[in-house]
Amino acid sequence: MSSFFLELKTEEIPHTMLHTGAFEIKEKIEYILQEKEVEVAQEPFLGITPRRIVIFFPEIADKGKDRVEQITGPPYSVAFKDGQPTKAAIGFAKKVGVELDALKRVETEKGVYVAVEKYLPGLDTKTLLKNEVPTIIRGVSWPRNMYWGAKLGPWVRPIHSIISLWNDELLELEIFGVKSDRFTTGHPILSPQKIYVNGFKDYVSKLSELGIVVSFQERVERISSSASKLASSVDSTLVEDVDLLDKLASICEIPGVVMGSFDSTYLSLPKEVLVESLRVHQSAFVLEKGGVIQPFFITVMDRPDDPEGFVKSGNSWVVEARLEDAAFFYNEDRKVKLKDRIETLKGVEYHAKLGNLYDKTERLMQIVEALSIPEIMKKPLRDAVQLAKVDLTTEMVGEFPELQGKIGGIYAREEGYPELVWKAIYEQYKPISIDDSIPASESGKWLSLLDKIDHLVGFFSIGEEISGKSDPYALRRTAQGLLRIVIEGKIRVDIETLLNVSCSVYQEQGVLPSTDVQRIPIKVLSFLEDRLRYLAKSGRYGVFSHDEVEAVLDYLSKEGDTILERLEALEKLRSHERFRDLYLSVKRIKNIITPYLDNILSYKLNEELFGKYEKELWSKFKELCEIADIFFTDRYAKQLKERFSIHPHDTNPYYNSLVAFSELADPLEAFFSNVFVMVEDKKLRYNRLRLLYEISVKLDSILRIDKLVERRE
Amino acid sequence: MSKTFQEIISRLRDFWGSQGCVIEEPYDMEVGAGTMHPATFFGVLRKNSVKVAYVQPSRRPTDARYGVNPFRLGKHYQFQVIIKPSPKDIQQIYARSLEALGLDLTKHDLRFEEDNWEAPTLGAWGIGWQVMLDGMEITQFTYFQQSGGVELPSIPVEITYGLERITMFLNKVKSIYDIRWNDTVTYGTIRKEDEYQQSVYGFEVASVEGLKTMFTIWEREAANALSYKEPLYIPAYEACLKCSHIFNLLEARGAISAIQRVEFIRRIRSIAVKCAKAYLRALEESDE
Repeated sequence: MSSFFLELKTEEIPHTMLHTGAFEIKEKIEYILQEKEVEVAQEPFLGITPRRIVIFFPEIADKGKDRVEQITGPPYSVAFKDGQPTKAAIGFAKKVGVELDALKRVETEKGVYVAVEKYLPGLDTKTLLKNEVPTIIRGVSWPRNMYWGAKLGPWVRPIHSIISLWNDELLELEIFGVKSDRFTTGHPILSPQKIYVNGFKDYVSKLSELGIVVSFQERVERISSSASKLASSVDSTLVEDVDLLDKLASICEIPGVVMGSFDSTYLSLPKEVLVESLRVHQSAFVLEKGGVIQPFFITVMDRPDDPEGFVKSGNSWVVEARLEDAAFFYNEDRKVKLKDRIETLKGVEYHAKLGNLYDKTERLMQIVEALSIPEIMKKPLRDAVQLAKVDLTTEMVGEFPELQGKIGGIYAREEGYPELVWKAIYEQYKPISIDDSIPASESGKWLSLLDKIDHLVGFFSIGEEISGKSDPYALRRTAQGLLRIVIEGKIRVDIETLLNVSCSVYQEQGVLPSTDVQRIPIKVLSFLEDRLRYLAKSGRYGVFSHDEVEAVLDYLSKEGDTILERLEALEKLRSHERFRDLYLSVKRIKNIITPYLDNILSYKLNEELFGKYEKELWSKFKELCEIADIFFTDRYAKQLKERFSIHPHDTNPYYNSLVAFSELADPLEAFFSNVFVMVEDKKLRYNRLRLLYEISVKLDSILRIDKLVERRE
Repeated sequence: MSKTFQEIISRLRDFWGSQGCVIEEPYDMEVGAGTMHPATFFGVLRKNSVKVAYVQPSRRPTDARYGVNPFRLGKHYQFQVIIKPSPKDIQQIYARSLEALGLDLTKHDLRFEEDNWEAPTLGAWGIGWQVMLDGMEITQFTYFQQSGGVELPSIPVEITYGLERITMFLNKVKSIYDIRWNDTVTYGTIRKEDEYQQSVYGFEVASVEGLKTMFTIWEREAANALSYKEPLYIPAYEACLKCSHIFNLLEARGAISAIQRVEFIRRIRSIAVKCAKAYLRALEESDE
């Protein structure tokens, strides 16, 4: 067994790319070793700092496994005639370089052939690495490359030195004009001298004497624990932020931590502004005590200590300058009332083809009117819509774009708008990502929903649909956000109607030609269905199969809020002992009525024409309809549940009512066995079809079990 | 360690001069950044090596704040260094330039944080960092990749010091206007009225129609200079700088919609690209 040690020393690689790039190098080396069957006895080590990518294979075989490869030649019957080799056999043996007696007879799927087994000695690992590693490094798929010097590269940042040791002996490589050697350097300012490296162990210990921690994970742990300690020294705790911690550990190689402070007068700034300013602009942790922000912050420095206090005073100075800036914006912004900013929205473009934000506000105002919600919600929603976008004209959002919406909400709160209004404004962009929560307030859910409807319809109208991976207008995220608000927020909304209204409003503004008014809502709806498929399969709501998801799509446009319960009902129902009977009956009904649907619709059911079996079926059906209704109004209906052997904890009305409807299987079976539906007498025929149709419609309104695919046990 | 504004400038000049840079003077026209100085714009296009440094007053009318905001200016001073091809140890040389300002870096935290740079009006972009000293952004450090719409044959490094920021930071003053220009005069004495008047002019007074007319005139002048039998790329480029400044003023004035903005940028870039091409053709003919 041997070892392989690689260090790439570079100029600072951006923390956003560093990890994927380093992993790619490690994985590609592993892949090539695996491909050549080189045994890797011990997991390799990967060290990552902004200036170093370090890979160490402690135990790796000297050679790949020897292999025997079978080379197949011509069919046996062609190669040998009467046991004698033909020209074909001689030619094949010559081609692969063996004697005639090495040819073997093998049976393959295609028939009997001649073949040769060739012995391939394993590749020398050292040579393999020498040849492959430079190619792997040069080929890293960084998101953005650059050239340097006399047009060296392309790579993410200039490479300064390479250590490459095979069993602690130099393995010569050359990448972008840099030849491998046995030297590294320490910290560029604190320990810039050249360091001779004997091997990986020697390397790690020499660097750690200089305070440099090569392991990313170790830096994360050290920063986290020193930061917590520092925070408790001022009787506070860190506001946890995993992403920030990862970033901080990625921008230093000596994990030093420093605490700064700012004047407590800045604590009167909105909390969101404080947090954003510290976190985003200064990459600093916020400190709090009992939920109240404290005038301290903690960040990293790429050095062990702060002997003269320069780092602390420097960072504090910058933070105060930024907060002073924010305070300036805050005071400036509040000189102009939100209401007085509405006109200025005319100067803020939404999209070149979709007008400005004033136009957008007007559109949203009209969609609000189409909502069937009580006036008590509609009125504050109107106010919120009017003011929703005006914070985009504030200095604060100019400075902190991530705070859009929130700033508007905060200012509205300060101007004394009721909670329903300011919260709607505050939460209008939620959820901003798949991990973000949906708006908590009802008014926020509505505003966010309207905003997203307008966004989707707008961009579909101007033909900005998604092609491939790129999604510059975040249509996927918008659609998923909309669905999540409806599904998780349990919002009963007629999406189809809103899409139609949105389209006609766009048409009034001259964006949509009249021919598109019918086409666009259908397109958007099918896009939403597509995103629903994605969401349902993402595992976020549980595990559902393909057919279960397809079976609930119909409910999206009018009863999206029930999707989740319906999915759960379907999934549970499938394993119910009587499900199969009900499923087969429904399938049978569908098969019979589907070809005649148009005619059935114009026929009215006449109970006087019923015979015995129809009567029995109809009265059972009526009874079950009533029971189903009870399950929907009373989720606990104890006695009824007992009758159908439903567990008292099963409160899903879709499940419960379909369990009840499984009692329909028997009278249906009797009906089908004794009554011929397609009789000559047209009246009777259509009466029977209509009866089946009524049953089918009722069941469809609960669950489309007919869309499930039968599972083979 | 307290250094005045003018001392910092002269120390940087001395340092980069000793590194073999030609110390040029500021360009005598309104520009948005040191990058727009012809020493950089044309310099980076050349095949041979270039080493130059200079102070460049840079105007950004939209950043103006009536001389009120303590951190923002409509005109600030940049110290610009261009070296090509970029030397291997340029980060170390840069660090030494800070030591020349009197900083003992072994007691400070110096970090390079990703920050790429793009100047769409010049058809230029680069990859690099903002350099953070004790948490303060003091320098933009960029490896130029393209300029005038041309892929560069060898790569220049551009180092741009924000002089006000560095001085404020070294002296820990709370407002730009409190920076000591020398031992007796403050930055405010020299610049505050200028900031105020330029803000009023840029935000409220400048004639939108007048500016738009001037833009067209300078655009025509650029074409005029370039269509001469030996294309006069230097006057053409100056006309391009004029257009760029007028565009910045129009933007401050709030007279440009987002669509118009794209169009203005395209028009300016188109002149810049033509100047770059004319320059490269002239170089070829002179067989550099």
